[in-house]
Amino acid sequence: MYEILENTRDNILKLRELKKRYKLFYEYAPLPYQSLDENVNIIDINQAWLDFFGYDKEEVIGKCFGEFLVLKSRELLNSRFSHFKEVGVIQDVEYEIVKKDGIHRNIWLDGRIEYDKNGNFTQAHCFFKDITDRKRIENQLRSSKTFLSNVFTSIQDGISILDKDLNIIQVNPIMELWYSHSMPILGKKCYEVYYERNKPCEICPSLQALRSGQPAYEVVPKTGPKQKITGWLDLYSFPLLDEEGGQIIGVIEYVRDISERMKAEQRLRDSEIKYKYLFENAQVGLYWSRISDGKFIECNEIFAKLLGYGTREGLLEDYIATEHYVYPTKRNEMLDAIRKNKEIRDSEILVTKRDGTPIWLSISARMFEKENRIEGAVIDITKRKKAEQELKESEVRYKKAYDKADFYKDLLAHDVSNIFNNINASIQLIEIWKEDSEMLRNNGDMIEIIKQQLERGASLVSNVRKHSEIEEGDILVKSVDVIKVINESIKNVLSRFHYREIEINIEKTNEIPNVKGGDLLIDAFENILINGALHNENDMIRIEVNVSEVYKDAEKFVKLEFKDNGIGIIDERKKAIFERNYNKDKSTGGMGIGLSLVKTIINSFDGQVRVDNRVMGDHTKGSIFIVLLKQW
Amino acid sequence: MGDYSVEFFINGKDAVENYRNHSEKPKVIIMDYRMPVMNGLDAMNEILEIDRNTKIIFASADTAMKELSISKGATAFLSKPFKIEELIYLINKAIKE
Repeated sequence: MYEILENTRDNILKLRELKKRYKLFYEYAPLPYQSLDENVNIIDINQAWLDFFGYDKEEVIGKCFGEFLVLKSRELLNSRFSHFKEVGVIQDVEYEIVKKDGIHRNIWLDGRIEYDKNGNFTQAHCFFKDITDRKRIENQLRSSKTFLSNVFTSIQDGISILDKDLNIIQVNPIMELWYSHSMPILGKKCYEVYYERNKPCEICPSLQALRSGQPAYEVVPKTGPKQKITGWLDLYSFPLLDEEGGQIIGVIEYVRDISERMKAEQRLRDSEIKYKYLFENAQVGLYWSRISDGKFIECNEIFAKLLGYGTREGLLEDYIATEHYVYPTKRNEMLDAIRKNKEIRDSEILVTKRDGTPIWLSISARMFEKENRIEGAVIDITKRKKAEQELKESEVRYKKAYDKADFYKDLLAHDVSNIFNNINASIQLIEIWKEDSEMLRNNGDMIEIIKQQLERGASLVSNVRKHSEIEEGDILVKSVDVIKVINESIKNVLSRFHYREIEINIEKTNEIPNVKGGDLLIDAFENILINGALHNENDMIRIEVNVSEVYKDAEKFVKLEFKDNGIGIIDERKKAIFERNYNKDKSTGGMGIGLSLVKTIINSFDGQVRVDNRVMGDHTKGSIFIVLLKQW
Repeated sequence: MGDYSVEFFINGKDAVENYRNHSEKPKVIIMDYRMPVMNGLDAMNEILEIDRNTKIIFASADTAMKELSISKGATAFLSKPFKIEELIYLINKAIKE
C-alpha cells in the first residue's frame, strides 16, 4: 500500500514538474501563445502574445478572443472553434486581428485541445504566427501573375515557352490560333507542332539561345497543315533562367507574323525591279536633274547615249544641261512653264551633244521644287525635225515652182495677150481706114504702135529669160565698173528710142570704185532708163544719172540716182512698182516685168533699189530711181 | 463706126474720180481689169454705186472674169484680143439699151 501511495505521490510530483515545464515552454515560447476556455475566453497568454498585441495581461485575461478580431474573422470564430473542439487540432487557420494600436495583422493559428481523463474539454492551447507580410507578398505576387497572364494572353504576337529539351511548356492564345491544326500543343516538341518534323530544324534560334545563353533571332517560315508555308515569322528566342539566375532551363520564343510585311517588301522589290527594268530598258531617255544648276543626278543608258556618252556614269560626271542649250533662254522658259502648269509635255528644245553636235529633243517633265529636282523623259526628234524642215523647204520650193508657173501663165494671159490685142487692133484699124483717105494718114501711128508692141514683146521675152537665169542661180557675181555699164546702157536706150528726142546725162563725183555686180547689171539700168523714157509725155525726154560714193550701215556703197522728167509714179503705186513677181496680187499689176526685174537683179548683188518723187511732194514732175550697190 | 468722143485713164482710181467729178456722165465705159492702183472690178463697183444704170463693158484676157464681172453689174464682157467690130457692136448695143 505504502508502495502504491509512494508511486502515486511520485507520479503527482512528476506531473506537476511536467506542467511547470510546459508552462515555462509556453511562457517563453517565441511565438504568441494563448489558452482558451470552452467559450473562447482567454485563460492565459504568453509574453510574445502581449508584445504582439500591445496589451497588458490584466487587459486580456478572461476576455473573448473574438474581441481582438476584425468583424469578418469574429463571424468565423464560433463555428471554427466548435469544429476545433470536435477534431482536437487545427492548423494554419487564418484570422485578421486588431492590435491595441488599431493596426490590423493577419495570423495563422495552430491549436490543440486538452482533455481530462474522461475526455472532456479542459482548455485549448493555441500558437499563432504573423503572416501579414507574407500575405502582402502573396497578394502582390497574385497581382503580378494576373498582370503577366493578361499580357501573355492579350499580346497579338505569339509567345511560346520551351524547356531545354524543346518541349512546349506554355503558349499564348495567338500561338494556339496559328497552330490550331496541331492542337494540343503543350508537352509536344516545338518542331513537331510548328513544322510537323521529327527532329529539330537546321536553323533554330531557340537552340542557339539554349547553347549560347544569348538571345537569338531568325526569320522562319510560318506553316500550316502538311508543312505548307503560309507566311513568314520573326522569331526571337530569349534564354529562360532559373530563379537563382544561374541555369538555363528553357527559352521564351517571341514570334511576330511578318507575312504581310514580307509580301509588301516583295511587292516593293518586284516593283523596284520592274521600274528599274523599265528605267534601264525604256526606249526613251529618262533623267533626274537639279533645278538649280542643271546637273544630272540620275539617268538611263538611252539618255546617256542620246547625248553622246558611252555610259550613264560618264554623263552624270560631265554633262551640265545649262551649258548645252543652243538657245540659253529656252531653259528658263521651260522651267517657268513647268512651274505654271506643274508639268510640260512634248516641249521641243535644241541642245548640243557632248561633242557639240546639235540634237533636237522632245521633253516631257515634272518638277519637284522642294527637292530641287526635275524628272524628265526625252526622245530624239532630230530626224523628225529634219524631215519637217525638208518638208517645209520642199513646200516652199513647190510653192515657188507653182507661183513661177502661175507667173509665166499670167504673163502670157495678160501681157502677151495685151501686146497681141494692141497689134491686132492696130492692124484692124489700118484695114478699116485703107479706103478712107482722111483716116489713112493715121496709118503711120498704127504702124508705130505695132512696132512698139513688138519691142515690148521682145523686151518681155528677154526679161523673162533673165528672170529665169537669176532664179536658176546661174548668174556670176563679180567686180563691175559701174560707169562703164551705165554708159553702155545709155547707148542702148538712146538707140532704142531713136524716134524720140531724148537726153541722158551722167554726173559722177571723183573716181567711182567697182561694185559687186554681174552681166545682168546692164539690164537693170536699161529697164530703169526705158521706164523713164517710155512713161514720158514731154517732147524732150530728160534723164540725169548721178553717181556717188556713200556709207550706209558702216558699209561703202556706190549710189546711182536716175532722175527722169516722166509722168511720175503716184505714192500708192511706188511700193508695188517693183513687186510684180510670184505671190503678188495680179489684179493691180501694170504691163511688163521690167522694174520687177530691176529689183531682182539689184538684190541678187546684195544691192538695194527704191523710187522717190524727183520733186518732193509732187509725183507729176517725174521720178528718181535710187540704186545702192556694194563696193567691191 | 460712129461719132463718139473718148476719154481714157491709166488706172481705176483716176477713172472713178473722173466719173464722180464730171456732171456729164459717159454713155458707156470700157473697163480693163488689170490696172495700176485700183483694178477694173473695184472701179466698176464704185462707179455702179454712184449710178446703177451706168453701162460698163468689161474687158479682160482672163475669161474667168466674164462671169464675175457680169454678176457684179457689167453690161457686157469683151474677151481680149477682140475684133474692132465686136467692140463697136457692144458699144452700140449698150447705148441703145
